[in-house]
Amino acid sequence: MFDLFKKQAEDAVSLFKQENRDKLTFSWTQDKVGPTPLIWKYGIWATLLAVVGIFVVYWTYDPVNTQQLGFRGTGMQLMTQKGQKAMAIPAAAEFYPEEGGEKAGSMYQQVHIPALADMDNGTFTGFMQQITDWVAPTQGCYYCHVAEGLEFEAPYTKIISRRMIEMVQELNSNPAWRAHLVESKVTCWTCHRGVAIPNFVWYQEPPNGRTGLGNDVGQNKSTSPGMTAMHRDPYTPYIADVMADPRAIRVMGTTSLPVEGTLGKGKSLQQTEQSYSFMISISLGLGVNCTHCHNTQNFADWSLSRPQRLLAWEGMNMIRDLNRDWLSPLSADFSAPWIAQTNAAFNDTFTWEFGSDRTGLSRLGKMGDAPKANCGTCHNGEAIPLLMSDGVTRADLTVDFPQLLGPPMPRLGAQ
Amino acid sequence: MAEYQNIFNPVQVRTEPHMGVDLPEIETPREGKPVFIWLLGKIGDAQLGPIHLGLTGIVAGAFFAMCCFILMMNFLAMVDWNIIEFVRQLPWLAVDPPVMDGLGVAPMNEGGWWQMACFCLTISIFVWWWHIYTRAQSLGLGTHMAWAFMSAISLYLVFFIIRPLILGSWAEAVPFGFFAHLDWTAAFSLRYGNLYYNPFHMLTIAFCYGSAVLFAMHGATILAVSHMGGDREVEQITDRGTAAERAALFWRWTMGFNATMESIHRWAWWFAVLTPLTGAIGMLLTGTVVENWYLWGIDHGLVPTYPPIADPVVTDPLLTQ
Repeated sequence: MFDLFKKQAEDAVSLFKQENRDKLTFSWTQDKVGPTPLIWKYGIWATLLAVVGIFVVYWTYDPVNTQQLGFRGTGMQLMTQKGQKAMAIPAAAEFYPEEGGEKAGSMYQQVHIPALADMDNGTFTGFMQQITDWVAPTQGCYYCHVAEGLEFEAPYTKIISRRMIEMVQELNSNPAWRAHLVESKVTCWTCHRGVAIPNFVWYQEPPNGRTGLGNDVGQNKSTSPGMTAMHRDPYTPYIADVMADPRAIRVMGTTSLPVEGTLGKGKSLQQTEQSYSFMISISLGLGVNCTHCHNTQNFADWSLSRPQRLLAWEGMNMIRDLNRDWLSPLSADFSAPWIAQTNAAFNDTFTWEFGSDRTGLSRLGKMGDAPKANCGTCHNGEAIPLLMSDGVTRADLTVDFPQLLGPPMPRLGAQ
Repeated sequence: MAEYQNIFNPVQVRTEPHMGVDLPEIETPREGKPVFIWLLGKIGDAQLGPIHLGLTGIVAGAFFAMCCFILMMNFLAMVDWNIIEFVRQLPWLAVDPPVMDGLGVAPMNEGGWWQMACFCLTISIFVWWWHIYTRAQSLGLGTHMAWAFMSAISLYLVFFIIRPLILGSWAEAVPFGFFAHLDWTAAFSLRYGNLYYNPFHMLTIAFCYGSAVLFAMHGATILAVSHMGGDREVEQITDRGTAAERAALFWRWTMGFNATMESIHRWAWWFAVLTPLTGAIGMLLTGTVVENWYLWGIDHGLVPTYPPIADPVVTDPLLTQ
């Protein structure tokens, strides 16, 4: 009896399968019915756990020192990397001053800087060695001199070096810059850190050259400061020259409600992005975040800001002066015809990368301008150059060479 | 009720795909041969397709494709047609609105492409809205989805068209780009004195976070009672069973108040709709009615004051010169 029922049932199923074969085998996924494969059951959870684990480990591994700077709850913190150390300063070059010895100015020709000409021979050669260690340690003496003779006004790096020594003297002696430099002294090492072109320099951004389509309006590439698509050159309006309007960088509305007749005529969002991009470059240059100076409750309000904002403001005045009177005028020297030869001789080429500021062997930017300074040029990512969070004190590099302390030098831009 | 769907249910039924109800003769047919995808069945219905585009869907899709085409061509031109650079720079690439006074038509490479992309996108969005509306009507649904979509559209319109029109400059509008629109957002807050002091911005955040909380509460509640049939919410609305009773009691006993099987969906709909809508109102007021939200907040006792951070208090150096 049971077998009969069983057979009938099996027949019915068999018939159903025959009748519905097309429908039952409709999909290629027909084979995948049944229990969930183990790879899915556990693999998905294992993958999720691994991803979460990586993030947890990443965020709990805490390489950041946080120091409260403002009132609690305002988020004003100084964040520094744990264990960050100043770059090792090269040992002072050994040299043997010769008291009453012959002056460099009479021993050598073409020593233009009075303070250098007044050095005795031992000090002078030591100074030359020290500059080499600071600026061109791998290239050596012939980075700035030619074999034909030290008195030759070649290569171009010699001319640049002379102006740079004068610029350092100016920085260390002009009382106008004490407001920013306070007790600090500046040497070649402050900016150069062992490389001929300091790590932070900037060039003007050429205007859009693409016709028809593809205008990136000087933004929208990865070369802008920080992880933003804002202005790639936020410097020209603010620190290339004296600003016609000293309030150009101030973009926030100054009244709670729009003043009648000014609707839509205030600072544009593009100007805001330019200012913002420049502020990011300061942050990067100093290795600090916005709240090093500002209370983000209101960026514009000076009374909410830390005194560091005044220092930064003075620094902008200084860097503006440096760029206009000392660095921009160097473009003529940088563009001397043998610049490419010199750089090629030292294999000091720049590979062409997309969005790179420089092309080929030239030191000049796409607009033919000399490399110019921003905050990071001296600061090199340090809030106080050469003074780091781990308490390594700043070395005063002008002790050995007080000649770097001045006097103020005539400016190229003023001539 | 043969189509019981649950993520914990390992059984996937395979049969002839459901092609949907018959369409009126004037309608274009549904597109695409349906396929069953096993993994899709783990998170929803395993059947993929058919899709009904119709005239509105095709027009909306075409305008959207045109907008994308304009942007992609500009992006490619920006990297000198280098595909590798295109991929590398994609997050940074953007097409910016015209930087010009007035509301005229800009030269193509000075913002004209932005205007054209914006035009195509706006047409596309509104035609797609109409598509949503008519699909709901054809299925005999309410038009809640269309109006919720309209709420999101209102925020888009304020940012891309209404504010620039009021302020008389396309430069106020949002650039088309991944990082660029985020930079724009940050700059927008900086320009108009900290959006966090904008009460409508506060509301939009409250509704946005509230939506997430409500969604989590509702989803958790229904999953928790689905073994009692609680996932059959529509039936539970009209014929309240033990699932609805227990879910309601849980919330009454934990927070004193409970929504109902029907009202929770109105809560969710309004929270979602009010998120972009309050945002749109707040953004519409920014720069037009209020110039600086921080100073506005001070005028209205909204801004907390803190002890002086520096002694002496820092003053604007331009004022003392």
